[in-house]
Amino acid sequence: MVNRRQFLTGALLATVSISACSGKQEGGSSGRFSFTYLRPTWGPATYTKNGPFEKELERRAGVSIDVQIIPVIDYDTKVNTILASGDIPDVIWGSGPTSGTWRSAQDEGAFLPIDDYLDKYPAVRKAVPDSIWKMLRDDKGDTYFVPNLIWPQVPFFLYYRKDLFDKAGIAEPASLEEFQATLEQVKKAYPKMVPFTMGYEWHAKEIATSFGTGMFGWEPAPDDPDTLAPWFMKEKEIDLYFWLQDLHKKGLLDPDYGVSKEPNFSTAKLKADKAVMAIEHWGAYTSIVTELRTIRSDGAVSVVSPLGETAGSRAVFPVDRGFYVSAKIKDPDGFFAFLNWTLTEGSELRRWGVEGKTYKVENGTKVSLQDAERPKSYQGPQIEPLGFIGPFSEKLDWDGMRTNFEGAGIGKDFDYIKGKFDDYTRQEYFDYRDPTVVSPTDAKKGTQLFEDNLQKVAQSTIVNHKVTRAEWAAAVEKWKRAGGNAILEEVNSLQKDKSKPEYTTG
Amino acid sequence: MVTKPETGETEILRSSQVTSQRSRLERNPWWGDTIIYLVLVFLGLVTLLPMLNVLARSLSSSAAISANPLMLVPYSWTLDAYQYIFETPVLMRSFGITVFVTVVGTALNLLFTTTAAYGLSKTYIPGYRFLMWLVIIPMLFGAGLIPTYLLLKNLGLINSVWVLVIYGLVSPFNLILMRNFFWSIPNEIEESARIDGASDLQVLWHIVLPLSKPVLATIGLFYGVAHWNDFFTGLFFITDSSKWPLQVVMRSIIIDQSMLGMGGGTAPTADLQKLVISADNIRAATIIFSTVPILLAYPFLQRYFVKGIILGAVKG
Amino acid sequence: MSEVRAAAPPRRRATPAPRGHQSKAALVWRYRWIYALILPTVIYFVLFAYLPMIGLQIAFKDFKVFAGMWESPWVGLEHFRTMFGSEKFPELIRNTLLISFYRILFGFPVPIIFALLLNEVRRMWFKRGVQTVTYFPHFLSWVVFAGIVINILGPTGIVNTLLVNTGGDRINFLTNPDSFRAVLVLTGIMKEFGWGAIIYLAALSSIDPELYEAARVDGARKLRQIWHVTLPGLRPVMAVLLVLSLGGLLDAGFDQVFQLQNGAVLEVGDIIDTYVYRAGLLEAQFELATAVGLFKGVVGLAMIVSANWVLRRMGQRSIW
Repeated sequence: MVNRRQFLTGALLATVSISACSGKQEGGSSGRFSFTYLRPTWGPATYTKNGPFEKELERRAGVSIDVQIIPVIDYDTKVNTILASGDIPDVIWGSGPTSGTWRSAQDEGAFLPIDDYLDKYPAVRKAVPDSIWKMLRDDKGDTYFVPNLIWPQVPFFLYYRKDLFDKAGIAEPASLEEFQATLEQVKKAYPKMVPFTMGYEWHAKEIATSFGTGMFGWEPAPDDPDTLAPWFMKEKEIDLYFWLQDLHKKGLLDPDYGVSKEPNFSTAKLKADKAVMAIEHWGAYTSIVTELRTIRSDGAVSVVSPLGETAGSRAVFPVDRGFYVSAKIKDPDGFFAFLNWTLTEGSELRRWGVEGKTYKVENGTKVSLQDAERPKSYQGPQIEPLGFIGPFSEKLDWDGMRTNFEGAGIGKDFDYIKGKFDDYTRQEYFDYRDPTVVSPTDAKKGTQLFEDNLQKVAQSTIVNHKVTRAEWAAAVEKWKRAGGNAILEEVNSLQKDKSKPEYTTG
Repeated sequence: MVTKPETGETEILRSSQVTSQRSRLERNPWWGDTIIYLVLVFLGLVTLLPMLNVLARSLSSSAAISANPLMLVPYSWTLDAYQYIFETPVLMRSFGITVFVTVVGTALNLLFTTTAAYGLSKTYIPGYRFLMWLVIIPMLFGAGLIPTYLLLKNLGLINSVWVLVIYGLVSPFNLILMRNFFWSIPNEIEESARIDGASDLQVLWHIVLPLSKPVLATIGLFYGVAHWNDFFTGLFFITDSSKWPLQVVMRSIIIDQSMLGMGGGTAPTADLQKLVISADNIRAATIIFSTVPILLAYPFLQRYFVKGIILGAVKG
Repeated sequence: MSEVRAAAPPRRRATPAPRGHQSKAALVWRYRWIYALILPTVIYFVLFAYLPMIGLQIAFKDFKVFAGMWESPWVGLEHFRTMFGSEKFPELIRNTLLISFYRILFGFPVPIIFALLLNEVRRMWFKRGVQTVTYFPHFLSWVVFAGIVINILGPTGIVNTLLVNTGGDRINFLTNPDSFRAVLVLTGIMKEFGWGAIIYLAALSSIDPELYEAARVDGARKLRQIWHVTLPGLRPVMAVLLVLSLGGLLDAGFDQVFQLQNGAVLEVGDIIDTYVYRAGLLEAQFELATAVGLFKGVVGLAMIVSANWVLRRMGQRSIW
């Protein structure tokens, strides 16, 4: 047994050595630039400091990063306390100027204007399309925010169980009307299964294009291309809601829709013979198929092509958060030099990681390893916190996708899925409203106006069969009178450019 | 002046005596017992089934879970999920932090709460009502996150494991409950000790506390469980993820973070491909891992609910 | 029976000391050790509960997060107007009060009855087993427990699967406005009754067995013993828990409601906290949340004060 004195001495020594270490780092005897970095993580928060990947990154880049993570679900709440405390980390993730809180902190001088550094470190500027940089500039023409880009095309596929369709002799539908008829057939053939399921309203965004509209966005009014109207005033979108209500009423749409809060309950049902058709993210194909095979060896999944002539995909604003640099950062050049490095020399490491740990080379091409194939200290939750930005050009990576398909043993399906992706994205719908143009009324009480007047119809229509079109219209009128008119006016007068957004130029 | 009981003795019944006295009480008729047992079995099942479901999920493969979400026994047995937990260093370390905080925190909670509750059980001290108000108001008005954060920052507690121990040191609710139990201790016992020359502290230590084991066990359990379940303090007041308690890590595993921004009305901007939803069996195993240890504390504490309790019957 | 009733003593304490002729200062000095016992807790509350209450001012301010609360401009009662002026406010108040009221009406007695039943069990393994099992759901967060509830009562849950398989019709427990509040109350009870019983079990163990003895000698039957000995013994705990639960009348259980509510039952199931969450916190409007918190605190305070007054009138020991 260790006696108490030994233990205390040991503890003391440990403390001294820890402080000695950190002293060395801060003293910069190695000349290393160090900074603090706060970011959300989407996966399990099991990040361990100073793992092998972190060390490798720091060694190669010649920096020292002190990472703090917050699970994304609590990020916004916690970050507000941090902003309010004045202790802003050197680099901090946030929603950017599209959010009121961040914009006001930006205006109050919390963050560093970055235009000079973008000029000095061209790889950073080049990583983001000019159209996006332009939107992020404030009234004075300054840029503060480095956006995290996503690919704007994220179609949600309408998947169906090919094996079940074939067994009952049901054909793939080609239009909305056929889709509804198909669901009736499915219901007859498989009375114990749910004909069609989806997780959230948002998952219907590609169905909405069959009605000729892009869901949850502002669009020019049919009779006046110079006036934008929000989604709940668009007749076509209201059509969609009542069409879904009708499916729900007839038992064609999953009764668990809107009730179950299990993640991915819809695809779980598709895999488990409980639903025959389901909407899910286009990238979910590999996981759906591989898991279905473990449950049912003869199971097969296909994707319905876009339904009807107007059908396509609703694109999204290609920015999902991003980061600011604190106005108080000691060495902004150090940070931007590092960022530039990750996009040039460090690009390999950023994108692929370490050979044998996060990727392998097969026939001369790099193949990313799935988490299960990696050593624990190289899995996603350990790598994710050290991510910064990647160039827009990498956001849709067909080569990587192909190797994933091959890795999962379904390489022959790759062309099929890519073809479907192209089918869906051939015709694009947009939110015409520029999220970086702020309507003061909307910023101040937009949410409450929506909650008080429209939430009931918006959230209830599909599952509450008593809601009628007249009620919807009345709710919109009420919203307008309560302040919605001011929002409409402000959005339309402040946003000069009402043309179709272009996210990808430059 | 309270008269000293004629015998001059206070007697504390030991458990054997309690039981023997109880057994002399009238027994229930057989049908009464049957009904009681049936009702209890029903209530037990109502709560046992969810538990079995979580347990079975934690031992199944995740494909089997989507096929049989309502399982009560594991399908395609696997210990993968537990292997994941025990091989994740952060989970093990945060478990240690939670154990430390629960043990040390509860001890401090009990120390502060017991002393204050004993003091406040003396309703005759001047300023009693003022002090009670002082205790009750914080129960109704929370100060809010930001000012609390600023305060803790100024105290140097942000990012320290001690914030988990100190924040919530005294719960007004538990304080009032304990104070009420102190009231139920017959005054005569205390008074006789005082007459023997015992000080307030001695009375508390030698007379009141030994008589209050069920309450101490109960309130200790309340505090212990509150520490165990607390994710809020760790999440908001500790920035260094290596100091997080178990619940913060666990929450990031079991909560579907993709729910963010999925509500009606606004388009979510989250990059859906980035979302990592842990496998169902890992979520279930994490729940088991984080509840079973504290669950086991209860049967251990239960003995204090019978032993040594009562109550000095003042013989007269 | 009157003797039995008398045997359950109202635990009133004899006034301990002659006090009339002592000055307040002398009394304080006399009880200095008692104060010393309370002092650490007072310091704790002043430091950790009262000092940060300065932050409640943001309920009256336009909070600028980076500039801080002192620099933020005053806006008077604007946030209160936002809350009370909301179209939905009457509905939210009604739902919140009704759900809370049902919770107390149906949920309050269950742990007591459960504890009384357990108290009759002599087989220790059975008693401990039931106790441990019933208190398990307390450790599940509502996120998890709501998933279980939906698996049982949901449109394709166990109950409805059984109903449909036996040729019956599906019952929409969760999407029917008529049954939604009942589901909230029942599942709330299901999750917490085992935990709630602990305090009563502790109280039961401190009832003086001599009182039962006396009752038995008087020939009181079991139920009468419970009525005349057990319940009076539990009364102080019941009273204090009831009063304190009234203080939280405007908290109708955010986590549970948030997880279980859906579009079909908003008109009966939307409560103040879920509304504030959607309208305020999602947009980081700390001011609105703080204003609502203040309002709830004031109402809770009024409830506690009046309940305490009623207690005192009934000759019970009050909270202060």
